[in-house]
Amino acid sequence: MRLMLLMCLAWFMTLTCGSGDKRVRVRAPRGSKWWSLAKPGEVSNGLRAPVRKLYNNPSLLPLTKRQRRLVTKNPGAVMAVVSGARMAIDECQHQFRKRRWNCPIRFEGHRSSIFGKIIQKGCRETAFVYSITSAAVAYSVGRACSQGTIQTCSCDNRVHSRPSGEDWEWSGCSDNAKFGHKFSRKFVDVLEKGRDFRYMINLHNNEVGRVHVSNSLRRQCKCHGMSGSCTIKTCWMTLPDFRSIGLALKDRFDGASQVLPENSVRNRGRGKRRFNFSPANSLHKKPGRRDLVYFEDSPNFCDNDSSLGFDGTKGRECNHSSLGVDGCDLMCCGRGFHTEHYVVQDRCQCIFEWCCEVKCKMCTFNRTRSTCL
Amino acid sequence: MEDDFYYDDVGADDYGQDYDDISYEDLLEYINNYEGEVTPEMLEILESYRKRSQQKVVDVSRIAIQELINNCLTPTCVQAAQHLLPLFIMCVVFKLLCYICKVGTKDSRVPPILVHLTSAVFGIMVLRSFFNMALLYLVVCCSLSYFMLCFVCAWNRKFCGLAAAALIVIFSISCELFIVEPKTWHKIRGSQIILSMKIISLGIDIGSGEIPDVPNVFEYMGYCFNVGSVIFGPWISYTQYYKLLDSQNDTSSLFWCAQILLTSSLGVVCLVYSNCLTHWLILDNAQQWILAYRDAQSFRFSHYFVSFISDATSSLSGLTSDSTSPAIWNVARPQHIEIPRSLVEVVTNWNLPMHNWLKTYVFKAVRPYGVFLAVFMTYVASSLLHGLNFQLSAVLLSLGFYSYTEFVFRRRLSQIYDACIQAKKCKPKCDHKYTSSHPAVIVTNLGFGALAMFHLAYLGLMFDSSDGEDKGYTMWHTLDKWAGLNYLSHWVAVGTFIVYWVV
Repeated sequence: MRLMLLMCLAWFMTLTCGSGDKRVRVRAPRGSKWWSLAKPGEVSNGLRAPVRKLYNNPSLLPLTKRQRRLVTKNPGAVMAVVSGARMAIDECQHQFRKRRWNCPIRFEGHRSSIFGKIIQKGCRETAFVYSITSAAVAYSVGRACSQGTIQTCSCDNRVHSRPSGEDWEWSGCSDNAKFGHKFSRKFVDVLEKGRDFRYMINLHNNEVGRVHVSNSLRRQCKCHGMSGSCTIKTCWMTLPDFRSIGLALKDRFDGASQVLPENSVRNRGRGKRRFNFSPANSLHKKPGRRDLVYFEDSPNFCDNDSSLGFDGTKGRECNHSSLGVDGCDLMCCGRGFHTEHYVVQDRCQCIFEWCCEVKCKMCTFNRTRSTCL
Repeated sequence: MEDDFYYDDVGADDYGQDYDDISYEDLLEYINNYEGEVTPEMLEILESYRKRSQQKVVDVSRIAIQELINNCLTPTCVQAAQHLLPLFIMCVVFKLLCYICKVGTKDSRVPPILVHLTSAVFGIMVLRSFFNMALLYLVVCCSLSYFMLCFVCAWNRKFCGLAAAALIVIFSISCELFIVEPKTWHKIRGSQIILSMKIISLGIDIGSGEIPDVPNVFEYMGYCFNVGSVIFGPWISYTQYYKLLDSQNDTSSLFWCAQILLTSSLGVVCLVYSNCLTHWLILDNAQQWILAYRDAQSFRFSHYFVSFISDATSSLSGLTSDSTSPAIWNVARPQHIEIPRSLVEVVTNWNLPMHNWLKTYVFKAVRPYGVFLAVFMTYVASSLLHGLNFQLSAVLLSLGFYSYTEFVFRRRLSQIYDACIQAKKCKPKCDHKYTSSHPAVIVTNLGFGALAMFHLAYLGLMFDSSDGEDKGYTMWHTLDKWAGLNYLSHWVAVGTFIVYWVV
């Protein structure tokens, strides 16, 4: 009974979404074009040019006026943004390497987004792309901040004029994360405005990514003094690598909550990015600020879909023995798969000989590879 | 404009929790209430949800060395420098002043009162920079004791030491229990211990007539708040302090500089090791005992840092020690603690000035009434000095019991086998049949050393900089930690003692 209801609801959802698609003009959101900064070769030496020239640099063409002003104001930040965009793409492709949609990117001029038209949808994948990119910018800018490549961020190692002997505030670089977070907000969210439901979703998902970065920065302290007393206290930061943030976001992707377009209002007062989403299934709990949200069911990503710019799973490699999403049954959508056996030669039985040589034998291995038809 | 974004995201998340735990009961209840057909696949899916919520994802990968430097090494060094530079500068200025004092001829030189006054004022300034207003407790303790000393000395000189000790103990305990809030007390406790040792030793020395008369206010304050030893110690005797004025034995300054540089850089290395490297080398997913060893080692290196810095500040301010060994090892000797021969050696080398203090003023004083009582009183005194903290008292008493057991057991073994396997090293020419170079003796000593390391890991593991650190650890924290290791070390020690009894 409950399942029936759910299915009805889902069907209804797709219906409303479909009509919604017709209303909203399909056009790459302008705010997402900065992703194409990740294009190899795009970053010329010009980006390291003096501040004045940076603004009109042709490499910054994908950026909007506001974004350009922001990176001009913070010299060095643009390089961090570039590396952040690359980091996001790498991480996305790593996390989705075993799924039908494997985060494909294409560089086709500045007109469209490099992730393809998936970002104009409102499905789980869209949510992930938005969150991972904003997270990557926050992470990369924060990191650059602590390495001193961005001069304007408030983290510097000069001695702050504070009353020492107070409890030790993090004097070094707690501001790194803050700066990265703020920068990512100003840079990524800049064009996601308006009252549209889609924009609210995107803003929320952007924020989800950033919150994951900020919360994974941990501060640890230790007391030093005679026999365990706390005469002085030193503190430091531990920041995990971006892989674990990607992993956490992928977890959020798996547990993302579907929300209804109605009744989504901003919280009044503080919190520009806090929305009241109502979950599609009223039995589910409301999405928190670390939960990804979406409103549209994902396509099945089986066949070539020009409206998505996705080539389908034809020719994709699949795992013959797996029963999961990377298994051939699911990956090829039941179209069947082609298995070929091939022989490779590789080094094996390597022995370390004193000193200092590694001697190996050449072995032949039989391997199989399956690809979807 | 969107420039004034609110910012509240770093730190705790107020809502939006991690995955809710699905307990087994919830799962059963859900399945029972489920109306449709329960398929195996569905059970599997539900089970997988449960599993995921069970395994807390702990990030245990080792971060890159570059990141370690950025996130931990640099800030640690910067903060250490910020703390220590004022202290070092004060010490140097004080030393210069002493030097100027000594340079002039007898008639034209600066009066010694000025030296004492500077020592005290600088000491109080340093205290102010470390503890803010909490330094008042120290000042109050110091002045109360001075009145006490004057009063008792005028009445009956013999009781000076006892009165001072009683006052200090009462003051410390009432401060810890009633007057000062735990966090503040925990902060100033290190300095309070040093101050207590100074005052008690002064009282006893006056009582025994070693110091002819009660020092005047300036001398007394100068001694108590001596800038070179007020924060991190080490304890110095009044005679040692007084040598500042008349000593002519200024060693060559280049050597002196090099020594201080070496000591302070060793200190910083220990600090970095304690903060960053222990947790980088041994990750959180290691075996339980290795983790215990890591936490204990981190604590030990933090102690070496304090010892080295105290050494550096004291020699920087011109204090000289009586010992003949090189000045670097005046306070602690890490090499004897990290690779110990026995626990007795560890206890001795942990803090040499404190060890000397306990030996001179407690052990030797109680010795006439029996050795066991003397040992016991020594540990009681050391516990009282450290305040009534359960964790420290438990550690100190365990340590006392362990080292006593070890000492008597090894002495007995050494008598039976006629070999150099006592807790203390044999003298070069001993009359044992098997000397230290005999393979079996070496192996036995290494084994006892390993046992000592095991005990140290067990005893030191609860100084693990967890949440309670800045207020002092609670009793439950200690017992939890030990229960996690099944009190193994205590059983081992009891076992050793029983074996000693039987043999």
